[in-house]
Amino acid sequence: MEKSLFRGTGYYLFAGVILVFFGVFLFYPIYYILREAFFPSGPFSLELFHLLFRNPVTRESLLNSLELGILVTFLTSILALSLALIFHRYNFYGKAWLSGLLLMPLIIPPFVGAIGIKQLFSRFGSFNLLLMNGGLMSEPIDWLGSAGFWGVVFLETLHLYPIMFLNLTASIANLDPVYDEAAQSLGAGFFRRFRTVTLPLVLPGYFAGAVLVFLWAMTDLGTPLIFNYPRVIPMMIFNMITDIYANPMGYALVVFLLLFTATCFLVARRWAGGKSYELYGKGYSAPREIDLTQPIEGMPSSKRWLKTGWIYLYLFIILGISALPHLGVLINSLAGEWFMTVLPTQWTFKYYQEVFTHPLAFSSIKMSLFLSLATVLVSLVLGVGIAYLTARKKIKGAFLLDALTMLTLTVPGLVLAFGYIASFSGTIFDPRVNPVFLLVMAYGVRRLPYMVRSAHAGFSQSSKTLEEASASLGASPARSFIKITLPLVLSHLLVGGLMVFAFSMLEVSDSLILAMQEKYYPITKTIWYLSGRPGDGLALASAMGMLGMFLLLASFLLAGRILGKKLGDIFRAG
Amino acid sequence: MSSIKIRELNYAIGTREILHQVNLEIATGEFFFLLGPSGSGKTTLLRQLAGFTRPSSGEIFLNDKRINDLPARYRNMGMVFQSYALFPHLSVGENIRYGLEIRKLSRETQTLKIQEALERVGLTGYENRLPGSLSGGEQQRVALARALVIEPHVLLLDEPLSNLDAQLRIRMRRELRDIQKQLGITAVYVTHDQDEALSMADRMAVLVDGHILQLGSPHEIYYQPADTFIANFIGKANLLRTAIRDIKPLGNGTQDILLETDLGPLWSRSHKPNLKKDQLIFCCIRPESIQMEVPGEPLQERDNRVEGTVMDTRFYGESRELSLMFQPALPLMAVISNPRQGAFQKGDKFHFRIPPAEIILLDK
Repeated sequence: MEKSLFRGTGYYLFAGVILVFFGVFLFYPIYYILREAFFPSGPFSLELFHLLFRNPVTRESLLNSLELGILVTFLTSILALSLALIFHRYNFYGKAWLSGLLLMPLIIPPFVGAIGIKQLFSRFGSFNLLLMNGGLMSEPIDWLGSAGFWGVVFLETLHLYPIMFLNLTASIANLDPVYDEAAQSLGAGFFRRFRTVTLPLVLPGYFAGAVLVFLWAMTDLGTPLIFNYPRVIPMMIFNMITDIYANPMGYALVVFLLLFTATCFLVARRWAGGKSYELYGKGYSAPREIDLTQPIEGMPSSKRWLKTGWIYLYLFIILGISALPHLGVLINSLAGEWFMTVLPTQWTFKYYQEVFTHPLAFSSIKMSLFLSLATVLVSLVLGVGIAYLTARKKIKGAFLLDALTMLTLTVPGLVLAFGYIASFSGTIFDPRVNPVFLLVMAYGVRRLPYMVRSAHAGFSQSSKTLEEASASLGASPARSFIKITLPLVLSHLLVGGLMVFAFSMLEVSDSLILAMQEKYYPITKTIWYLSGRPGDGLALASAMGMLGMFLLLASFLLAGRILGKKLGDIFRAG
Repeated sequence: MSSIKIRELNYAIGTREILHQVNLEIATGEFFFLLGPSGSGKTTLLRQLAGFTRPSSGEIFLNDKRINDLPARYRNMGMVFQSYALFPHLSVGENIRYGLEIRKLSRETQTLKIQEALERVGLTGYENRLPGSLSGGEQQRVALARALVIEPHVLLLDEPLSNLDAQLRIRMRRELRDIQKQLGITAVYVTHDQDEALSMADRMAVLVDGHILQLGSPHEIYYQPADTFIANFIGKANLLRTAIRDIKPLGNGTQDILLETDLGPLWSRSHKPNLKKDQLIFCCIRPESIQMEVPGEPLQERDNRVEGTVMDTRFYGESRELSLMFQPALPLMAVISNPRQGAFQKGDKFHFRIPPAEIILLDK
């Protein structure tokens, strides 16, 4: 009796540690900026907000950000939906390969891709030069539009459509085919079934993904930064950080962004929650797709090949466009001499060497490795703990831990980093002195959901009955956990850790904001810093971007290998 | 009204044979059952009828029209799924309306038909409820209403009662059969529950490992099982290896056969042709055929009379099952349909009679 009491206490103690972590590194900064925003000089006042929204620049930026979010969501939805439809309905040669290639944009952080795109499509970039040299036009066209706005839309769409596509195809694949068959037996054709049955049933999943995409596009700092497109909210916040003590307007803007994203999440959760259905497990899975690799009765083979051709054409166009940022970065990284010509006039590998010899580049790689490994450790301990307590132990208030974890998804990195700067300045954690600790915490808080979700999936897959069986044979809880549960969830933890590692290596907003001295720059901040440096800075930044790309690719491949085919689950929203 | 014909149907996935040379005819208005253990291919056969999978070879006819290549949605077969497959995002009314909309009926007609359909299954007033808020039995009825409202050529049912509790299952058996008979609709019903098949079917096919082992009415299959496997699968059976010692023809193909068994000599009255003296053969005795001898009841000529010891009894309310031991060491099962007669103690000895007509002879 005494012993079990102690065990219970142990769980609560651990839950307490987790709560303290959230308290200090999530709630305190938020509390701080809320206080500064609503009580700027003591008593409650909306003066800051009043001033903020009277400013035409704020209003313009807000509209731009909204437009950006809506456009990106709309475009990713169209792309993802059309792709999901094709992959749901048809089987064709190379389907698995092509669906893998569609995820290609995921391996390039959009702000790195922006470097490549800028080089290809700027006013005197390769594309315009090619057209002008060919005599197809005389004046360069402004492809990136409105000082880079369309460039931002383009890159964010490219970066985010694979996430939406994965979300949709995973939801569709998880759907019991029996609904589709029921509609068939009632006489419904493919498109009617897709519209009236499949789509409504995956809508909650789609919606959760769409909200994520929308907010991601609205709060992304890296891409507009590279395009130097200042009239969006994240850029305004970024520029306000430096003089936060002189100009408290930043607090109001950050609070506004926080409340806005929280509201979006809340609305989405409410709406989707009311519409999520208990969909029965997989019953009978019959091949439903139209197999274009086999002869089909009632379809001449010429028509079959024509259909296959259309599918290939569509996929290759999308893949071709998706590969542009990669291509741009690649060329850049190999460019020895490149000025006002379609392609570089001189090619070289020296920048790949320089990555490891250039003092700033190399120190930032070491810094990022250290930060990322530390983040993995922190998120592993906290994530496994939270998942175990919520999935298995069901201690009182477990839902609180779960809610807190998901809450971190609603806090944009930008907001958190801003909060850290504001609230921890002058304390022992002061990022102006040494940002390493806060960087790990910032990475950790925001990547925690990945870890928790992975671990949670592992715990709910391995049955609780096994633990009970172990206990009935006399094993202590610790022994059961180590001998039985842990081996069963290990693959999930590995994947979670890998994702946390990869995302931390290429984290943008926290790194840009919190690391202020060169010696603490992580990779991403160095890439940004170098890309703006005249001379060979851009090429060196591109070479670093390529390395980052390989790192992400390797992580995804490894994670996919460990998890089998369920890689899509990692990116599932909500 | 519709009939179904299946000819030489085979279905294989890769090298795995799921259905083997299936031949079936289902008449208009018939309530036809596919009965088999799990993995026997019965659901696969139903899905071939529905059009969700195509046969590897062979033909399926609906009203003498070949429908092999007709996609499921043009077959007009209402299907009730094991998990009901009610669209969870649509109300009960919208679920039933789904098929009517596709058939382009006017809005008024649709509403009228939905009312009719709900009334038929006793769910009037449920049209605005969501499937998730219904009990299993209610969902079952909605699934049935949805399948019937499109006035299908054939109603297909895939283990529709397997997710219901025992009492409701028994009530739904009666209701389903009533509705099927009222509408006179051709229906094909898949189940692994032999009680369900016996009590509801007009005719049934016993399917094992993709082969149809026997086709016939429940009565035929129960009293004239094709072999010992079916005898065991449908109902309970005591099976004995025996040898034929004598054959006494009675005319009309009927004959009395003297069997040498572990119970001693037994007479069987059989129509089975081509029996020979000294042939080895199985005999099947249903538990209810082993009857308590009523004292003073006159014995028929060639009636079988045996003495057995009660080893154990199990009480089912309306009946009592006895495990009996016969000399020298032959255990048999008997069912006493009126358990109030007599008290049974372990070790009690009783005389039992077995009517010759109820001793069934089987080749294998």
